[in-house]
Amino acid sequence: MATESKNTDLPELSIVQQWFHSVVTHPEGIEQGVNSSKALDLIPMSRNDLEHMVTRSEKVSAHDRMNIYANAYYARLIECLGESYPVMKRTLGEEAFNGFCFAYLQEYPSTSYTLGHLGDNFERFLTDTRPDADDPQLGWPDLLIDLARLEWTILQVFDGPGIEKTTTLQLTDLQAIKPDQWLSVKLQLVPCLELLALHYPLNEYYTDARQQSDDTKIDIPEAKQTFLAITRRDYIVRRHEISSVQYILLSALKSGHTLGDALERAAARSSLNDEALANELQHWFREWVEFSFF
Amino acid sequence: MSEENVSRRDFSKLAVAAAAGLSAIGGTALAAEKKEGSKKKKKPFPVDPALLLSDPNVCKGLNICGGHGKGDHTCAGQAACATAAKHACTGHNECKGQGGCGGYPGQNACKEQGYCAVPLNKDAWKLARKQFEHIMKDMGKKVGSVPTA
Repeated sequence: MATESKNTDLPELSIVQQWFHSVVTHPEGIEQGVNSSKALDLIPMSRNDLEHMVTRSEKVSAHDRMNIYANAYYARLIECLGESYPVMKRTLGEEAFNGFCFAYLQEYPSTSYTLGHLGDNFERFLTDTRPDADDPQLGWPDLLIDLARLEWTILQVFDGPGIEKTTTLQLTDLQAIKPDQWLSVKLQLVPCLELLALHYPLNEYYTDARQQSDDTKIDIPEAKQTFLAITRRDYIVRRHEISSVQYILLSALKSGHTLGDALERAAARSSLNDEALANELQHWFREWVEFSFF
Repeated sequence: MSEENVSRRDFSKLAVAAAAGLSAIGGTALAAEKKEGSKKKKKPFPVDPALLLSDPNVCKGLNICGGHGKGDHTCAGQAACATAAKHACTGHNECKGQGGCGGYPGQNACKEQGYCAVPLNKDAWKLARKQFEHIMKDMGKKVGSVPTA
């Protein structure tokens, strides 16, 4: 920055800081940043006046010096997104992935104090910009969008509230419920449990992409509706593949429906008779309670 | 299943089954999971911890570090140092203004055919499509018709 001795007309530091931020983060570069209405409102100047504000060095102009910060700003954000979406990055390759990221950051600039929110709208961005929105058939864009959902969900489950320091469902809680109350009981799912309905079976693909070395080829799976329950136990994110009926049942419980309502919804989608479905339900709930879904 | 069949369901029976499952706290599922987890622990750590200690925060593209870091370059602030390496001008070139990294894909003034690595291709979907075609070709399959954007 220029020192006061060189220019006594410099604006207040806070104004300079806001100006610097608006110029450096402008998606179209320093020149457009300097000429943007936001920057001009703060400090009216032309690109040629830049060196009145930012000192040049012997070899590097003020514009180039600022460009270093502008490049670094986007490079770091793209790097962060790459860490949030490692499998998508691997699938797309760095060039295409970074291209999405830069376009995304122009549409949804970072506004939070934490980079944990940086990818909040990535799935929405991909959905809004997909090139085949009018095509009812599933295609590779659906796979990408599914992947974005899966990876962001995993991240949210990892970062979000968990059950490591709380008590989950206990036998004594269940013993307090009278037999005729079960249909009207509301079972509370743990806060870290998320349910996903995907167009592609990405669970195994995700595991392979995370475990295999980068030069290992991993086949893209064929489209097939898949349901996942994702939760966290002992600070480890766990992914469980579930059936469509299980997905309906758990979704209803997660939405706050009574056990009776949830069972009614699930039963409507099950082809099993009561006897067989009851057997399945007993097995499911036993697993779910052991997996700390409740 | 029709609505009529649904209404004939014995939901009390189903609820009893659910309750029975819930009451079996402390069964075998988690034990199986823990066993599987202990197996997984034997696999080598997927990331070399040394990488985390190898000066990852040097330069970071935030400073003028010409001549520093890896490679023979004079790219101010974009030296192939530490984590900036992926985004660096890697053609051993003198980058002028770091061009495309500021929003002009393919229009940067990097000398000697270098490239700026924050790849700002405006049509990422086309790049993605190309990548998918490449993957599917390797799998011996076709991606499908080219979407008209």
